[in-house]
Amino acid sequence: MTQQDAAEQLASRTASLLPRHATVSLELQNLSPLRAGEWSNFRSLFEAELRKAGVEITGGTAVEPRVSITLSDSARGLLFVAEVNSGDKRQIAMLGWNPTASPEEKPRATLTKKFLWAQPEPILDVLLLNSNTQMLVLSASKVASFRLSGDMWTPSATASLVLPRPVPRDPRGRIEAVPEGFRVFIPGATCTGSIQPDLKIVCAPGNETWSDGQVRWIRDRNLLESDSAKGPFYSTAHGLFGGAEGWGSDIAPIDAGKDDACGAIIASSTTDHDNVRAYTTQAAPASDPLPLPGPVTALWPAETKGQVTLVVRNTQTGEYEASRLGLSCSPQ
Amino acid sequence: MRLPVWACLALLSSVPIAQAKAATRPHYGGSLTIELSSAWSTLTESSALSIPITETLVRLNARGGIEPALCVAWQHDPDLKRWRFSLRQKVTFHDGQPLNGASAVPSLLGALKGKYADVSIQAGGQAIVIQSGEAMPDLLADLASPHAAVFRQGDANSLTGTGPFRVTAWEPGRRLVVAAFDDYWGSRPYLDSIAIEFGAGHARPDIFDIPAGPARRILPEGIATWSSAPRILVAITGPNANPVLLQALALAIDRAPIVNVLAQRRGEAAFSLLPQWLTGYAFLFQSAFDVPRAKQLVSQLRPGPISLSYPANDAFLRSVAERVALNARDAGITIQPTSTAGILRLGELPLQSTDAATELARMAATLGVGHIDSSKPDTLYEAERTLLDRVVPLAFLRETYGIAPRVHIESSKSDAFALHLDDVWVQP
Amino acid sequence: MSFRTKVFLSIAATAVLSVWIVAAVVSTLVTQSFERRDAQRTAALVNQFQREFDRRRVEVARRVEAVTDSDDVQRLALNFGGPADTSAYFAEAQTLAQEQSLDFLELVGPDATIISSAEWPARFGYKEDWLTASSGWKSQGVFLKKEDLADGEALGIITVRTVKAGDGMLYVAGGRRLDQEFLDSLPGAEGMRVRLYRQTDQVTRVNSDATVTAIPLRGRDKQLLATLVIENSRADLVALKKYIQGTAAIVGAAGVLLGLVLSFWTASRVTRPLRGLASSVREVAIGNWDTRAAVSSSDEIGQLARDFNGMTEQLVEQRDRMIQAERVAAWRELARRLAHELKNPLFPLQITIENLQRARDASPEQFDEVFRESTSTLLAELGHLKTIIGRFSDFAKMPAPELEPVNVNQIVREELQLFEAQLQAPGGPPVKAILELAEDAGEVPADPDQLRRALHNLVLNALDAMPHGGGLVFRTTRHDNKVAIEISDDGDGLAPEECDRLFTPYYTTKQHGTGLGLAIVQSVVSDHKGTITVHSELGKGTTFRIELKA
Repeated sequence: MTQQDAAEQLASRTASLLPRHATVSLELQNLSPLRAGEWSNFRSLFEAELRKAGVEITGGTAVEPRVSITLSDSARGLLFVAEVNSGDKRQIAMLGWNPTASPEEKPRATLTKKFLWAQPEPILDVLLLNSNTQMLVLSASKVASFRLSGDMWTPSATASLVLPRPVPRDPRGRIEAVPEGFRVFIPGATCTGSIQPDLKIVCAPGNETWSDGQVRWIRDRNLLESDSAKGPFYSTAHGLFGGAEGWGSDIAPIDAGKDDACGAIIASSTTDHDNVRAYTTQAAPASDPLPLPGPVTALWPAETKGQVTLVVRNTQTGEYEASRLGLSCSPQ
Repeated sequence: MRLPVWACLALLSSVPIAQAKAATRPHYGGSLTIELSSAWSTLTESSALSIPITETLVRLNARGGIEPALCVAWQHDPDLKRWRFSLRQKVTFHDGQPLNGASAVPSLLGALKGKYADVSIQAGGQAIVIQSGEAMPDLLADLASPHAAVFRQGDANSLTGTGPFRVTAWEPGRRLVVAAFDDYWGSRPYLDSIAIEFGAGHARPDIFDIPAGPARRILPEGIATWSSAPRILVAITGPNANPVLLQALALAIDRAPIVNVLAQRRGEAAFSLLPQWLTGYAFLFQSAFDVPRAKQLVSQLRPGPISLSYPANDAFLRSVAERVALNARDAGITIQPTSTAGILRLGELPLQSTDAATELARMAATLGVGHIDSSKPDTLYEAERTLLDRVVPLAFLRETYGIAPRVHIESSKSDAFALHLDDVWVQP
Repeated sequence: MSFRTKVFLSIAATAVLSVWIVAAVVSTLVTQSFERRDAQRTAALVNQFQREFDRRRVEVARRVEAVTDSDDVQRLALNFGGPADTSAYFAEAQTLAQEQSLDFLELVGPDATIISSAEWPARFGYKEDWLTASSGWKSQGVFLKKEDLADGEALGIITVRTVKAGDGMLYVAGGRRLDQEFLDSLPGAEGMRVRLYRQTDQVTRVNSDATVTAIPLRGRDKQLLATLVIENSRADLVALKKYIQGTAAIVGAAGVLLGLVLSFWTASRVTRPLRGLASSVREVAIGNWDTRAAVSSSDEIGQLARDFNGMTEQLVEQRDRMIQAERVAAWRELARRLAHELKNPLFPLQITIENLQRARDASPEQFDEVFRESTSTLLAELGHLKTIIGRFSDFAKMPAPELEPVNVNQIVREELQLFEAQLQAPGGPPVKAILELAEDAGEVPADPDQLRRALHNLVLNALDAMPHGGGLVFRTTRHDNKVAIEISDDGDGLAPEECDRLFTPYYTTKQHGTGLGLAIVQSVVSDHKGTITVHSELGKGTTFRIELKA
């Protein structure tokens, strides 16, 4: 339900509690996580709808009836509670609301970050094709295709992944472009897909290697293994670094040119404040930390040189946000 | 995609390839030890610690919406009297038996008969049809409730479910051990096993409960705490008490000291039966602590001494009862706390789900007051208002647990209501 | 009261009074001795109490000082350097109190808010204004205080210490109970009991078995908080007194018994002969004049008996002589009456016969006529004689009445009817008859003929008493199961002495008549078991009243 719809419905329910052509004092309060800007917008919409419903709003608070509108948060979503108080009499009306998601602000960082897509289901990886006009988003259950329309990605097709094994509890996956389309690597399954004429994908059991034959998934786990490595590991950058103090599990190499000092590794942080940061091959910080709205769930080298695909779970909204990181080597 | 050349060169260097230490990614494996001060008498005890041994056909997500669990799809007739559910394929019980309609019917029937007297369930392959002579608009919420879990009953000490954990040892009141179910249809849990000791057992448990009350437990260094959303209602019930008396009592009791001191801020004051985070409208019930008004109501009643019972051996509730008696005395009501039966009863009513209608219906049933017909917030608000004639809410408490440093909670799926142990992993 | 009773009471009273006086004196002496002893014991206990109380005060001060100096309290005080959150210290007082064996301990913040209370944990957040309102307690050191508890009140020996806390003070108020347990720990003598009564305790004791000494215990503001009551059992004293009383009672009872015996013996010696004498007197009173009293002794009582016997002998002789004289008088009276009655008709008889003789002798030609007249006169006078003799005969042999229910009013009316003609006869004296008959007079068992005869005689008497006329009243009344018939006249009346002799046969105040009329009336009334009385006043009239049983 959009804000407009919510305002209209709420105004209607509120007006039904009032006498015809009533003059009321109005008070609104927000007890929910709705951002200030959106709340202010809703307030204006509601007042307009209330007036349309024939209710006059005065400035004072001593006028009766007194109308109080509270936006509250419940387990089922947001809840509008309208109270109409007149003397000792109180009437209540309620309206549940699950607002449509609003575009997120693009975070600013030292590292350049470009938002691609957000969705409730975990995003495992993102592949840009056709000169970055087509995007494939890999989730645990499907591959979704998007086309760039202006600045917005619009969904164009979806293909479900029929996997022989359940996706591990910490779902991870990788999508890579191949000449005939694309391939998806999930622990326990390898899928081959095509975009033309339609988006199709077929999965078969098995753990094939990827990343130029370097790594493969361990079945039913979120770990990688390699013939050349002892033991499992988490990141495709395992050969460079097993990890360092304060680094998270997600590490991805980034090709920023031959200037090693500019940075070669993007790593997620284990500190309380989720962020990514570029480091040199010597594990020295090469950029300021780029704050993130939540923990990193995927960090892969992108198909585009000099870019890394970043997926973050926004702790506030609960959604997974896919972005592309780039490293600007201009001095700060 | 290929790694850059220089990266590959680095690969060939003599830099030893260390074992990947996942600093943030979950680890698989390991055993979790839990120590709880109050024992569970059943395997389906309501607690903020969620050990999913069984599953339901559908489940409530963090936003209170219904999503598939053991079933993948459902349809119903326009009258909501006939519902058809398609069970998920390739789901097995812990004993290897497949989940199908026939195996699901017994437990479902037992769960639904209480609410729908004439309900019948037919099973056919992976489909089940639930029918009743009356409309069942809240059937999905009922099926998401923990008591509608699908299981196969073995002997008294076993419970065969389909969940990510299976019972390996169960000594009621003493010990519970569960192990990861490798053939779980969803994702195998990170942990290999969980062992719960009731009462002091383990020297250094990974998770231990911190009961409400003033006894300060000195937490060892590095121990973090996890608190659930306020989910345990502490309230005074009096089904046979004069509603005006209960109203006076509600006005006379200052909840802030109970929450801030007796519960050591592990909760919030309660003026409603369900917390604000669950219903969104609980703030409507908030009222000020008003002793003069309480005295006025009491002066009309002139009540004699009233007994207030609390559970024996519960030091926290006993201290609450004594505080209530003190506040009531200021308003002219003589309350006599007792650990035996009383006219009024002080107790804890824990929430079992995140569905407001289900919880309110359960409370209504506990108080012997009919049932709730609708899940609309307006209707629930009115029903709760009526129930408050028989209940004086005092506080919503959180369940708080101490968490050892090696324990990690996969926060992507956890919610404030429960700590899902299938999303917990331990550092080796 | 009989003589025996008087003697008994005298002896008994003497015995009891003597015993009582002795017992009272002994009892008083014993009581005084006990009281002296109790006073000494009480003083000793009070001293002991004071010493123990002082010792406990010192101990309380020491322990509270230890609490104040403890790390926990110091840490709490530091809290107040900034925004203080004392909620975590809610249970602190209980722990500290346990460690120091204190019964009361409260940690109170600078604003007099209770942070933690050992004796009443739920009371956190409430105020103890007395700590900040006045500082009088500072000079008191350790003092008595009444403490509010969840289950009532208690008395405590309390002291207060302070710790610097931010800009104010943290108060540590602690102490120990002053209760029965403390008192029981005091060594006391046997029979002593020490009790503590709080001001609010309502104590009602009615007990004479103990000496009670009450010592007030005051708080810091000199208000009375409790009373120490020391009871010295008087059980021994009571037992002894009871023993004395018991003995006295036994002795007294013995004296009473002795008195009883003596009284019986005395009575038997004195009162029995007197009773015998009294019995003889009663016999004489009812007419047994020849009663003899027993003479059983030679003392005054014996002499009295002998004198009594002499008296009765004389009485009997005098009675016999009187009877004889009355008989002679009665015969004389009868003879006189008879002579009088008979003389009247006899004289005309004599004259008539003499006339006959003369007529025969003097006038033989008139003899037949004279003979006829004379014989008529003779027959009339003989008839008169016959009537007189008939009356005497009737009086001599009046028959027993044949009783039947007789309506009294009807009899009276019938009798009046008989006299109607006479009363209304022209030329006769004007007599007005008045009937005053009670409606409830009813019936009486009587012989109607005899009753009529009696009434007839009374009416005749009444008419005779009113030669010039007057009022004749017939009256009947019923009262107490008796019916009365009254016949009243308003004639000349009778003198009292005449009334006395009225019913004597042959007594009459009239010139004519046999004098038997009223005697007959009396005889009839007597035969009907009734009574007849007369009431008369000279010049006013006379009323005869017959009472018969209904």
